Amino acid sequence: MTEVQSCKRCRIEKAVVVSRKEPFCSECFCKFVSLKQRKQMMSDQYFQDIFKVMYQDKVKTAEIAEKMNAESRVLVPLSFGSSSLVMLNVLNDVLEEQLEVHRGKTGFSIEILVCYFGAAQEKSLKDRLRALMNTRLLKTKKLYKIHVVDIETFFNSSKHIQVHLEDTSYIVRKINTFSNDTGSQPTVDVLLNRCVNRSAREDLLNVMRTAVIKQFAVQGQYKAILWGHSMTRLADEIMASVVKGRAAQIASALDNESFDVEFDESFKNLHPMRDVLLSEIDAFCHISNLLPYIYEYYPQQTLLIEKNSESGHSPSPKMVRNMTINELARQYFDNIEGNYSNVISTVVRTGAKLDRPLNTVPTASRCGICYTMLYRNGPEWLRHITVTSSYPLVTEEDHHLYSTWINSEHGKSREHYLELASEFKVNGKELATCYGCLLILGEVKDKNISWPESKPDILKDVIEDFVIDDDEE
Amino acid sequence: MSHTPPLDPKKPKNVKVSQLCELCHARKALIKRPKNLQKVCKLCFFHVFETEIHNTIVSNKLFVEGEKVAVGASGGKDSTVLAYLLKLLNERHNYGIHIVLLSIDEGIVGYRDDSLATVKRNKEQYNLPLEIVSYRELYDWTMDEIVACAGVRNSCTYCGVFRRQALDRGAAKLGIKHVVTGHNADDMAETVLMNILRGDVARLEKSTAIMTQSSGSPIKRSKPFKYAYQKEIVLYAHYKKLDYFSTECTYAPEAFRGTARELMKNLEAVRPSCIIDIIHSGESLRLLPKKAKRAPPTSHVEVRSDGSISLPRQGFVDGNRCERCGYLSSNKICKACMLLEGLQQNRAKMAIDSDVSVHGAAKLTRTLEKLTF
Repeated sequence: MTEVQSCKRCRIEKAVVVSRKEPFCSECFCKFVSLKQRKQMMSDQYFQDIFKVMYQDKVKTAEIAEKMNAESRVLVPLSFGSSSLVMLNVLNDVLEEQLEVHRGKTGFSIEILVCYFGAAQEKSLKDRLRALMNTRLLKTKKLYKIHVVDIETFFNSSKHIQVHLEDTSYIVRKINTFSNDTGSQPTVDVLLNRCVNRSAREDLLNVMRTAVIKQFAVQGQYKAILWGHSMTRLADEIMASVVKGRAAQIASALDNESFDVEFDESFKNLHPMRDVLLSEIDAFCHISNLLPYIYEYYPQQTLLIEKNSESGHSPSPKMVRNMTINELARQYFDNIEGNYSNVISTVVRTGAKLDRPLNTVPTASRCGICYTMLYRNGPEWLRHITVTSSYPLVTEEDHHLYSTWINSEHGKSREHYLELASEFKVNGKELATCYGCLLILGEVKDKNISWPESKPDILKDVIEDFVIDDDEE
Repeated sequence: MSHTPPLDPKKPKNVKVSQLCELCHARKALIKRPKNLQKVCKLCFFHVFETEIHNTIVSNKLFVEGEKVAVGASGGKDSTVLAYLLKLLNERHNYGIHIVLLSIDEGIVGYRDDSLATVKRNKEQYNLPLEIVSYRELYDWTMDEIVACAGVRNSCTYCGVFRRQALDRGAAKLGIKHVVTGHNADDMAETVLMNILRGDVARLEKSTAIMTQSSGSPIKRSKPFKYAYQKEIVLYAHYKKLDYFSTECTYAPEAFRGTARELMKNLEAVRPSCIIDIIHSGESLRLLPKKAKRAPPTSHVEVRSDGSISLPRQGFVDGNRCERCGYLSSNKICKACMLLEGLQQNRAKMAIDSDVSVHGAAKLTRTLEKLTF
């Protein structure tokens, strides 16, 4: 393309991005993304009360207004992916504007939560955090509080249980373990290594990370968690939930209106980027030079008019077999974006129209693994449609082979599994789990995991308030 | 080299213990069930497959004693296995139903005529009565003519709408109030995904219903294979040596459905159980109650700027009928009549005697297949 397009909004500057069939200059594009986010932040009264600067008026006194401003603390989980960085960037702009317009006042304060897994990730994330605070957030640094949490705190609970899936009946049972039983506390690392595929690993990690972040929000008494999910990411999640038998959870996952039922109803979740496509967020990263802060991801350049040639950074394509379900959903959306560009927004809009399913279980209960509400009895459903009895032995050869099997290693290893199962049957109690977690359990070794009995206690043990060393001082 | 005695072809003695069926542990496993990855032998496979279908039928109370049931038979694997299995289970468990084969002749030369031949053989093999209803007699169009007129891209839209009606009309003609179809778990999962990808809210909640019935229609439909994997149906047909027709329809499937199918295939490679997982999801999809729109009172009529007025919209009324043909319809005129009208307008005014050019791609394929040097 040799023709120089000009921005359709300001009609002056040269266009650098084409998004939704419209050419934008960099300034207009950033404004476009930013406004989409701000619109969501003002979506209802609850969030307006959080983000707006409050003043004395007919109903509130000056003290109450002050108190509202001070209590408007939001938690921003930062993964250093493109979406959460762009979201923080826009939030920071809002803060800077408020400081200027309201002469030193802000309507809210941000606390950043970085949840890491493993020492290498800890270092990379902390380096980026330091860089970010000393450059882009320098002016507003005093308004932030930063927390760094190790995902291992997930197991910081007084009691642990052993959870076991019986593969013939799909019944999940638990046994209490005592500290002297195994000698050491279970770790995330050990647990993840027991997964037989990447999907189960990703799901478990996700369950643990979400629990840590949400529990942190409960214990820290935040008003809301601001998730960086882009529209594309939400579409992935919706499709992946359906594929994982977790469609019942879509309604709660997308709910920005009610308090989080699964976590004590003390905060609300907000997805301020739900109207912005990932490709747009990625273009934003390129335009506003956020690349150096991004961790383990290279933002796409699909929307940029002039592509950056030096970035031969595209990750090598994975074999389908090695991909996780979320990755497959993402790949699907990537592939059809050209032909059916509205599919992503259709999926998110459809997801938002879903309600929580009707309850068919007698008593209200939660999944013992992921804490989500249970609406149906998964094991019973599976038992109904799967027969696991055998056809009787007929010939003499059948009987002969059967006795060989009984005495073989295979028979014995099955026996071991059955022994384990029967131990759980005798000593264990049934643990209600959702259908999705049933599938995860089926994909770990021995269908057996260690899990905390109750939600993790994050604040009690590890709360590492991160102090940034000032470069200048 | 030592001499090895010739193997007895009837008795493969060297069955390794690791190769044994995971259910009976006594026979060689031949099949890996996609549902739970169990390796099972042929006999156990027949046992579990048949029992599962039986359980589905019984727990959903699909049949009533003395009922006449039409099997939508296309000659393909699903409907052939369905006809075979219903007959078998009916005799084994005394459902007390009367089974009739009901086929639709869409008029696709080189495809449907061949598959109908299969159905006719099935009729003899299973000793079941057969009724064939054709698009030609119902609508005065064949699919080949429709494609010639409206193009190949929309073929599935026409065919789907017409077939739905044709099955009902065929059943009504025979005095049957229950049509069973061979829709399997794969079809159902694909539909769930499609409805979400297309945002088809109207179909979202009902897409996994095993039985559909409208208060306005005497004919109900059910899908006993709702939980049966396509793979297992094929294996069942294969090991039972059933006679079925295995060519896909030559008119291209809908392009968008193709992308969903591709996605399903990839997902299945990663987690074979995903098909029933998706159905589980589909069963728990429920829509939020519709928000009441802020609308003027019903007695008011809005006059638009161009002078047109908006007629009061009638909501969906179950049992509403088409003004032209009397078939069930949520609108004034049913979809089939609407499509027919469009076709009629474009029908060629003149035709060449004994013209065969409308015969579609299927005919050509068949002809090419028969060519030899």
